[in-house]
Amino acid sequence: MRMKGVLVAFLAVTLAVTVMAGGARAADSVTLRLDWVIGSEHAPIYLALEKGFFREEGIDVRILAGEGSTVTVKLVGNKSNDFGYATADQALMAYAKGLPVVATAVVLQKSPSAIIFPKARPLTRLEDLYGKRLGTQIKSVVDKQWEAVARIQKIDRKRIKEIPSDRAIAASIANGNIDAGVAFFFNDGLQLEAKGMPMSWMLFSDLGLPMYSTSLLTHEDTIKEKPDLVRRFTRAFVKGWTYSKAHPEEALSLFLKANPNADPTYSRLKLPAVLSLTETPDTRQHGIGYSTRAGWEGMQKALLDMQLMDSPVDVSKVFTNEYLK
Amino acid sequence: MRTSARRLGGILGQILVFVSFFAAWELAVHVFGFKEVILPTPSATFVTMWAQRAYLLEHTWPTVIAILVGFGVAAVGGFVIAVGIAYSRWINEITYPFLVTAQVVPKIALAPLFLIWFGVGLLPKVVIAALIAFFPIVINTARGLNSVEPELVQFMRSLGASWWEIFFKISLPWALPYIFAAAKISMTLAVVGAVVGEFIASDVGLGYVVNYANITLETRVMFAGLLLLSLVGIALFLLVALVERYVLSWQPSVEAATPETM
Repeated sequence: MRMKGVLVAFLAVTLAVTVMAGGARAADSVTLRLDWVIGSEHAPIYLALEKGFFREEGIDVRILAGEGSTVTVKLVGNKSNDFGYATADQALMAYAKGLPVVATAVVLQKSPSAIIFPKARPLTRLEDLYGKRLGTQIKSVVDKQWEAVARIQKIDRKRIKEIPSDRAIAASIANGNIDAGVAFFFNDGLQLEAKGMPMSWMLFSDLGLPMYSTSLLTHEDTIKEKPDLVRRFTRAFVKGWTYSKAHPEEALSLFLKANPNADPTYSRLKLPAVLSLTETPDTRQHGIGYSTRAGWEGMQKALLDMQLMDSPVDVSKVFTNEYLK
Repeated sequence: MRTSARRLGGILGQILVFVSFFAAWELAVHVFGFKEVILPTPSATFVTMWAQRAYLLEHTWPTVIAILVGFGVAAVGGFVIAVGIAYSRWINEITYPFLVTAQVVPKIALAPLFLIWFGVGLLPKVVIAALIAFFPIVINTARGLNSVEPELVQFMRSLGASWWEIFFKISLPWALPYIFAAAKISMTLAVVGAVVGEFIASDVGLGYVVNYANITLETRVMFAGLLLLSLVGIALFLLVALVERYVLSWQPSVEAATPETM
């Protein structure tokens, strides 16, 4: 009689475990490749994870650090990762090269590319760079963006001493090797500010170069085959950003909890700067992540001018607002 | 006659390995349906190499110069240190741990700092190439110099030969096969070093071409650059082998002692 009781209990436990395992298996397990090493610009994504936004949508997400948008678009376009967080210009270039990636939410509406400089030696206009040393990143698309800005603003680049300083803009400014640098203001610029050097910047987006920036991407096939997954993922992802915008302190503390090695001072400076890039008249009306055909067409024109694309593509295939609804 | 026939067979075999490699590559791209931006076919790569020959050649020379200067610095510096190690137990004992430590430090990880320390241009490339290339020279040269039969040295001494005479007439010729074996390895390492330098701190060179093509998603150009870089490496390797053959022509055992390289 007792043996029977043990047996029943054993079966019940087995059944329960099986059901639970089955339940867990029902959640979609996906990977998200970031654009760069993990920083507080990704805090809203960690917030969505920590607060269970993905779990509520039945998604189990693994966040992977990135090595630049150019690698992220290849990984998503090759279906090595399910979702990616990379710049819109790289997504468009990748699409033109036959990697069918689609942006389902343009999170950063403005490019963080900028000319950054110490406040102690301020620049008020681009012409102030004449005769000065400008650190450039020749192995990055931002260099092409700088070329375009110089062309648009009719700047004579021969009068500027351009010094290749890839991956070392902040260090070179701190070291006095260069007077200013072409960089993401929220990376190198705020890094220096966190180290006690007050910085200022001129955004390329304010200098006539309209560029959408970091966006949520997935593969065309994933949209075709699992539209529901894409919808749920995009919803949870954008919810993380919307929530973070309303509660930046909570986003920061959750991020620092998830990434205890991150520099708190730098992270605290960076997050609000990043969040400010999510807002435009479009997103105020339609919500975070919304992009327009005109915006993508404008970016495509700039990429064609920069010779980063050979021929135009139908931009409506590279972005969609469908999954923001 | 028979040896030359065997040699011809060997060369054909070597070519066959390359042809099979490229054929397998071409086939794999078609079978697995890789996008060109992920993995281009070798045929497309060759077409790109030809179409972009002016651009690629323009960037080949700075790389070749960086490799040769880096290799030269490594060879001279490595040789001097090796002589010290071979002839002084004290120098050997105090420098060896440091040399091994310097060798195992991943220089590639330091490359972004080299940009700040040495600026942009030839210098950082040469420094990285030399640092990566010099270890085999030091180790092999010291070993070669130490491998001289002591009886021979004693015999020369008994004839009243000076240290210099013994060094240049006995020890150095004795060590040459070791030195050349190391030089061949170092030359290939100098190629790696120069390219690492160009990845970070250069606006010229094939390393720059490869890196830039990666960012602009021009994977075909990237592979064309890589292939050309390999050809440069092979040519420089063969150059060392050729010098070796010329310098060591008096020594019949070279062919047998070192693996065939041509």
